[in-house]
Amino acid sequence: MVRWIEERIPVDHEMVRKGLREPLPVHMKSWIFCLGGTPAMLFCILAVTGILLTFYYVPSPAQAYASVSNITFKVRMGWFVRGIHQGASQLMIVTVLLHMIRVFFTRAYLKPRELNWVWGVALFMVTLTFAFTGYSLVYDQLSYWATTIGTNMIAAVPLIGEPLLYLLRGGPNVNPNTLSRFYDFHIGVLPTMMTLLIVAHLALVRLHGVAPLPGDPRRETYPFFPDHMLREAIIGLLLLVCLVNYVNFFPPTVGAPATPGNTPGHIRPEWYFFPTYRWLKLTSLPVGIGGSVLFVAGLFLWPFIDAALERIAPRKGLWVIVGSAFFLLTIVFMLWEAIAG
Amino acid sequence: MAPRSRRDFMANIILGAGTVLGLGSLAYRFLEYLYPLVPPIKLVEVPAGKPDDVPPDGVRLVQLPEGPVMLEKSDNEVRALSAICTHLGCTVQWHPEEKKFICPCHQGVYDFNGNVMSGPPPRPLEKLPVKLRDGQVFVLMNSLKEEQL
Repeated sequence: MVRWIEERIPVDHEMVRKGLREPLPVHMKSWIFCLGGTPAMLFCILAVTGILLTFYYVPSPAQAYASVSNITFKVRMGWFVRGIHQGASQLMIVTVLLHMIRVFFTRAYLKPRELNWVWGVALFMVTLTFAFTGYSLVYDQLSYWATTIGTNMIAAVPLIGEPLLYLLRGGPNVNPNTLSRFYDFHIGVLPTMMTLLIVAHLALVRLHGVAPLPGDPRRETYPFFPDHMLREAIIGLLLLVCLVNYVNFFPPTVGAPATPGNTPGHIRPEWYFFPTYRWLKLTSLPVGIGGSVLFVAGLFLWPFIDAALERIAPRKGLWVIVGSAFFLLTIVFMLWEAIAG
Repeated sequence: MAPRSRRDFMANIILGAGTVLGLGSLAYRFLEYLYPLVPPIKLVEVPAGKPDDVPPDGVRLVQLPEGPVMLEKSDNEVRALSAICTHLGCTVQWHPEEKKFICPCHQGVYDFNGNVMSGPPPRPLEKLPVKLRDGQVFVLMNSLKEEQL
């Protein structure tokens, strides 16, 4: 039987063995260096629970809210599946952020790994878009007004804003086409983009090898399989335990149904959009949108900005000053909105 | 690498250009398919209740099929303002004790006439023409009826 399969799928065992036993530098044994695999595991959990949710979800304004309520309160274990999906999406943002912070402060993006940082930021943006389109589908008040504000922000971008708005909404206003488009993005376009980006991200990690840790003189290595894989598996299991407990203690709920034309008094997006939300409150629309676009562009181009800062003032550590300043500003805006919002 | 003949070079150019043009035109067609039909803007007269429904020197929010509208009465004259915040499209709320419209989303503040007092809104609230006919207030608004395709 094994021979029959081997004849039809002629895999080079030596190549697979070499690939699995890829040597990793010993600093990767530290848990904070295992964060890269966590979002990939969460993506798998999100894909499975997302597919399960599509069995009951109806992407039309007339039925979306009722179908989410149905999943949450009537379908057997619906609350559990939706809760895991919701919790995993939040955790995914947390782990992607933690991974980015680790990569930033160990400067793992330096030459020749600049493109992998760019893919990574693209993955972060796709993750945020996933979250945004995801909570838009619930069609409660938060969904409706987040869709309205988010798409109007796009409209404020000069030149391409308006056509992009029409393309996303499927018309000049938030209308039934908008929900089906967001649904298509959430279950089709974004998963495809994320899969391609994860493959590209991992391929570059394997091609370059893991980035060395600055100032670490150790040259010893350990194999990816089974040693590192075991650590990732432990993290994966821990995540599942946390998620299941979180859902048991905090089962998902549904807000008031969407009421176009009536914005509720205390409306706020999810926590990960707090910094942008606060920024938009503080600035005029062109500055708010322009600043956000520049921030995202700066994040994408950070490895090249770091190299330019190093050329301007070699070994002065400008990268850590500029980077930490923006990082702190983001945290301040987030806390400000959380407390005063 | 073996030297290429001029014929090979030309064949590659034509093949490359053809592929780019072919894929480009295909992508353009797909984009055309996704871009919605945008109907021309059409003004409609929307009934918004009776003038007496609006309190004197006060404001009443009416939810019309074409969008939310603030009807206000000053010197016994009914006026209409769009209730859509000019910042990012939330519905503003009337605070009678402060005589201000406040947007709950980003705290844009407008006065009774819809002028921006503070916050991020770039322009005043849109003033909408009003007609009185048969004891009924009609507001002239852009039709929201779109072809759902």
